[in-house]
Amino acid sequence: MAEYAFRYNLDTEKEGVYQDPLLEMIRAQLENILNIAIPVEGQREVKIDGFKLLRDHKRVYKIFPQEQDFLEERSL
Amino acid sequence: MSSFQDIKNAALYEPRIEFIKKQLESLLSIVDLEKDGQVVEIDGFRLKNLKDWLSPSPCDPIEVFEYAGTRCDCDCLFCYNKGNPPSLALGNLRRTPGQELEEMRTRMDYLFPKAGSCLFPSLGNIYEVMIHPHFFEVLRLLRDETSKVFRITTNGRALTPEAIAQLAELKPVYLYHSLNSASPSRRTKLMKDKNPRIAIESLPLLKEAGIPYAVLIVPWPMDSIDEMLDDLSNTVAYADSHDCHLVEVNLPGYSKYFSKDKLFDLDEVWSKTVSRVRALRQISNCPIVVMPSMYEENLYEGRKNVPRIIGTVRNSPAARAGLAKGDKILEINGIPVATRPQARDLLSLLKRSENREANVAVERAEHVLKLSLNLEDYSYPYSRETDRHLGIIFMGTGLRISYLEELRDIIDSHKAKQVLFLSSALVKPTFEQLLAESHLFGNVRMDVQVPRNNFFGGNVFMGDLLVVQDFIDFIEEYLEQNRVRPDLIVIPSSPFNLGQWGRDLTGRVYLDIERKVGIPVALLECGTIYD
Repeated sequence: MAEYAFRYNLDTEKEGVYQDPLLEMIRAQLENILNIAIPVEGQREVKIDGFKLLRDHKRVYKIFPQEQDFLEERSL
Repeated sequence: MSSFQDIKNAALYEPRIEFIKKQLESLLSIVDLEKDGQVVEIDGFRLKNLKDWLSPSPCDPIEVFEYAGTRCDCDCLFCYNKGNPPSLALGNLRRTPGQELEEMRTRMDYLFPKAGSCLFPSLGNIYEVMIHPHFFEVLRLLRDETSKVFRITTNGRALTPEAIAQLAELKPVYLYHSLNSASPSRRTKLMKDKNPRIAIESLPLLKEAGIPYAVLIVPWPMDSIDEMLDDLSNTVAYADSHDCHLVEVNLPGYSKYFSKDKLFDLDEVWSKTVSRVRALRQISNCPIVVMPSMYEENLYEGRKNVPRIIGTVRNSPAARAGLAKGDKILEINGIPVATRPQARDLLSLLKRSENREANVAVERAEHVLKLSLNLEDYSYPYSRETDRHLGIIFMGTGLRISYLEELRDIIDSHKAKQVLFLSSALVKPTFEQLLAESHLFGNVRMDVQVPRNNFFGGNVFMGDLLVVQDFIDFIEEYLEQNRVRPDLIVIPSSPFNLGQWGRDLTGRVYLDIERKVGIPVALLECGTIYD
């Protein structure tokens, strides 16, 4: 008997939070990681909720936008 | 080809699969994949090497054969599966029995008892295992691999003499027999069982075959509470007359998805049921437990967590040594015992040891008695393989004092002074008793609160069924109503224990609570106390 295949579907039509797809890719990937792992510095747990791009240290992007942020971003 | 697995289920048990799905979706939103210069459209993925997907496990055979429980041949009035919220991460896939067999055989191939690992679970709602066409085939294959007990829960419809004979060849087997009623007409009405005599008449056959069993009863106030209680008495008497190992009375409840209307008064049904059970214990030889046991403890026991015996299994070492209902254990083999978890742990150790006897000191009617248990002196329905505490039955697991030490460590590591501890209505009285007797929290203000089960709704109030959104809703309301803001929120881990990744029953991670309310949230590691 063949080995059972654990198969999962993909939904590529999902809407992200940020309209810029490359920015959204970084946000989504960080959010995904933070749902399965806790970053630490030394032994100390580090809580993070945003990120900056190396090319622009001034702007901070949220990783876990609230629903309101989502709507604001969409309306920009 | 097998169908797609449910991703919410994967989020609960193995969220790294959900992670892969989201990573791939994220990447595919910005790139196309190619093969030989052509864009390849993909709509899914599969796990490549299943050996990469093992997780720690006791490797109990149930971790394989439970996957046979995808269908049911009864339609119980009280079936909790009918009241499951739609967003629960425990949906069932539509597959053929052959595909389910394929998964069970694959799971068997990746069961590594020596390493203590097996494939991550993907269980949905569990129905009746014995009607699966490949059930016995799977059990036989498992028996070739393990001598562990098969603990099978069944509605009893398939317990024909032939099926019992097959089970007898696969010992050790222990059955949780959902008899519910020993009255053919009431069982038919309660469970839509068209041939109730098979299940009812299976009890003497199980005894004859030497298969120990527990009789499970959900007292449901069909017709009237008095009829329900009378039937409970008759069913217990019937089970007792056939050397039932244990009767387990599961107190009934329902979610808002089961019924929008109030079906019965929970406290009235529960308290009258417990009262009847306590009366039945006086005349029954087989032990009777009520689940959740803490309801009875809160109702009747001033002092909680006491290692008091509520019954002994017939013909067990405990029963033969003279231990009796009402005895409070003081010492086991000279080791003083103060709480139920201590007593249970010591008895489990003894059971697994090579010891041939044990000495137990008990308090009975204000006298101390010292009794000697011969661990080799037993017969049906007790067995060394299936019993855990030498035949002694307690009022549930109780609460470990060590939880308080772990709680203190969590508070220290957060340097917290004002702690909000989120308990459950059932556990709170015992927890507060332990807190009041502890000297560990002198400089900490601890507020113990109980969130509501909005997610399940109805009359569900079990702490282990709370979900992330219930905690968020409660904390936000708490912060609005209280001037003092806690600097730490502690939640017992049991609502997040189904997988090993801190997910609730919808697959949502507990970290979302802190993200939403803005106060550090820590889980206090603890096992489920639904015992």
